[in-house]
Amino acid sequence: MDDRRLSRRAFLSRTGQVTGGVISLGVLGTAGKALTRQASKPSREFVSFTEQQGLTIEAMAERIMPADDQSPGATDAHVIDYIDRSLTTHNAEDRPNYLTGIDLMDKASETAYGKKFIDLTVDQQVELMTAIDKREPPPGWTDTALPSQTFLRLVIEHTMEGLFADPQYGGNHNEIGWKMVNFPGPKAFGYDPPFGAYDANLPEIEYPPFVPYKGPGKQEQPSKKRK
Amino acid sequence: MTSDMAMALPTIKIDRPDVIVIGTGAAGGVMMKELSTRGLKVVAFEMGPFLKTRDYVQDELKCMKLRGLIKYDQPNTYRPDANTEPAVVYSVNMQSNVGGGTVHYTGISWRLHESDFKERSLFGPVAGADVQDWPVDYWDLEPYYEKAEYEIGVSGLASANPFDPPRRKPYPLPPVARKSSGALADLAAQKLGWHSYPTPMAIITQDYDSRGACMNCGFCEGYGCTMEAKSSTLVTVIPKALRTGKCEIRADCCVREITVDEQGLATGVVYLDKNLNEHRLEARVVVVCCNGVFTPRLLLMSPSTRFPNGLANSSGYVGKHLMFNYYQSARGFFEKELNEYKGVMDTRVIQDFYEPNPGKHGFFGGGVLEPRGDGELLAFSQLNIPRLPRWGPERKQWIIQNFNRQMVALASMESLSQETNTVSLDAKVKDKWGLPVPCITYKSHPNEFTVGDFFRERAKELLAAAGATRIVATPNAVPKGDAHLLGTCRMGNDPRTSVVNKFNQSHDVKNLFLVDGSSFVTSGKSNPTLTIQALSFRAAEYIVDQMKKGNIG
Ligand SMILES: Cc1cc2nc3c(=O)[nH]c(=O)nc-3n(C[C@H](O)[C@H](O)[C@H](O)COP(=O)(O)OP(=O)(O)OC[C@H]3O[C@@H](n4cnc5c(N)ncnc54)[C@H](O)[C@@H]3O)c2cc1C
Repeated sequence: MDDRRLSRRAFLSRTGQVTGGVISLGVLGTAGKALTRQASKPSREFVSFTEQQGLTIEAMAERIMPADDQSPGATDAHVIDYIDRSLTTHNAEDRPNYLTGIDLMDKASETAYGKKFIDLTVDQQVELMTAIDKREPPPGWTDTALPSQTFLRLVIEHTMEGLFADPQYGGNHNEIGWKMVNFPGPKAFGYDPPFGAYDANLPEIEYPPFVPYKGPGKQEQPSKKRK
Repeated sequence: MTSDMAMALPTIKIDRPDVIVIGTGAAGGVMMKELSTRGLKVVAFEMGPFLKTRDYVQDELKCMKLRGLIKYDQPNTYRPDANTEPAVVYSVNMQSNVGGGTVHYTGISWRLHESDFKERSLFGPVAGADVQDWPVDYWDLEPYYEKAEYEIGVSGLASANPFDPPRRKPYPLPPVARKSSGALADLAAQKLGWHSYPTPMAIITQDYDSRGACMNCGFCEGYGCTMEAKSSTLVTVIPKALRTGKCEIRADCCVREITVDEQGLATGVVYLDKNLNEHRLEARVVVVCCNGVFTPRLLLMSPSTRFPNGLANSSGYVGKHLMFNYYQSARGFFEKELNEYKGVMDTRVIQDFYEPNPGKHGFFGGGVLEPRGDGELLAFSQLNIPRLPRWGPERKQWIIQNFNRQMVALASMESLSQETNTVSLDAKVKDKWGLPVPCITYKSHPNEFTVGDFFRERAKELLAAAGATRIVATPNAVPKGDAHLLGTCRMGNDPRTSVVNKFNQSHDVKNLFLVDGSSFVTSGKSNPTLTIQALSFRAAEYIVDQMKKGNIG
């Protein structure tokens, strides 16, 4: 058990009431064959989602920033933990949109494929997300108050936060996001120059020495350009 | 290393101050120090909290997205013109805490040029705008610029910019270390025949005045400096004011009205504490340093039988002539790593197109190029780039490939003064104090987009000359607010067409001073803060002198 889990548990007990309310809203279904579920994260204790909802967002996040053979992706960075937790804190006002959005994703998914989103293949998930990334919503997306594109943009924004924000917010597990882009994270004691390839190699300009202006003031203002 | 200077400072209580200073930002911090070190008793009000260095963090999410720690957490409203219903926005880009906007600012600190003070006489009127000369010129301010540079701690190379106005002394500190964005700017400038020079920065590059030198941690613009190397008023002049034992800061206290007597002199303030309890405090002189939006707002919230249209507003000009600076930018992508997450924001400036010479460029108002490493991860990962998907493997590869290989050529320009661009009191929306939020009415003068087009091309030219493999530029757009809040209580010799005189003294109320960006007559090209501080040093000297002579207070 690492600190992150512990603090999340503490967090859970503090927000028990809220959590209960959320869970009763959703349908607690079996997880099915979640495509992106990782062996390292067997127990799911979402505070904002039912398991089904959480796995849906996790799958979307993984399609947004997918792992490949070069580098890890959203699931590895625990993006879902970030999103789940942030919906009870600084992203709380977005929670209703998530619940509506997940519902509509599943409706659109069922209309197109006869299955819920998390039961689609990766290719089908990408296909559906490409379809909802349009101003015209796909069949099944019936809520005009939450355009499909708006919902996707929200999940994109929060996926990037879950990947690249400070790990203290629950995502960016093991600084995976920072390592991915070669960013060392905050360094209290900073860096010494040279900082990059260009300042290391391009010559500095030589500037003329400073000559103080000694004039008596308004009467003898020197001309603007001293060259 | 971090001394957290403010921690060990004396806290005293002053019941009968000589002077009340409202707002503790760039101007207010200087004012508090200048008055208290000359023996006056000062109470300073700040509606935000008194955070210390240890409260500031290197956390992009917290500082850049979430409101509260850095971003001002109250809304304002915006409308393009007086006939449109205002919309609730968060467009006043300021910080509300002891130190004001200097805690999170970038620190770019150049002096205005001689021409900025005389645009009307040098270049004539502009249709649809109200361009005027300042009642002061560069030489009136030169000693105070110097004072600001030395007291605050500005680093730079005095001989490097051929377009700089003359100066008596060099900068107190050597310039900031050049980053790759600066090196590429040097390369481009040499190819194009332009003149790049080290950015003057209110960031100390050597130990100075009991603070430690900058360590180039990169958490700079938009962050409170965790090393105290950024010369915010929080770690420079404010501790000095408190150490006199003659200055008290009342933080988390919002002034909601300035009171006047029958003679029309300011008597003090009415303010709300954290629990919204109302209090009064009297003083001989009141100095308002609430910034270009919140100073006119406070005056408009202080009507009286004598000043029915708001305090100090016999001209009717309080809140009018709101100016920002106008921006355009281009982002360039390069083959090798720049690693712009290191170091201060900006290490080179180009002022070849500074002078607002309509004869030469076909438009009024100049600008500057500020090549920089603008691209923090959260923002960068979500950038809108033509033909690049917002998500999926291609986006991911693009982020990985480019995060450390890009820079921005920011162009920052003059904004023209128009009477119809205003700050007023919103009729409906209230802030957490129960007070009307500022309503911004702003429309760009057509000239703004013309200048914008010119500078966007220069920004692209710079990146191309530096060898960028791809360049993406911003389109023109009307700003709804800004970080540079100027012009709303303009300075002038004529009480009918200006709000304060050349010492920032209200024409109407002799013991009332308005010292901040609101007194600007023209906007300059960018980065107003050093000038705001020079004005504050100068006004403080005048206030002390006038009080000694018994002319005020
Ligand atoms: C991201 C960013 C970067 C910037 N970079 C630069 C830069 O590189 N160079 C530059 O020159 N400028 C820069 N600026 C602008 C700079 O921050 C401002 O110009 C400067 O802080 C303005 O100083 P001021 O004294 O007028 O007001 P402020 O610093 O805004 O201080 C006003 C204070 O008054 C308080 N206040 C307001 N009303 C009341 C009231 N009724 N009662 C009590 N308190 C009140 C506010 O809470 C605030 O703390 C930057 C700004 C931003 C946002």
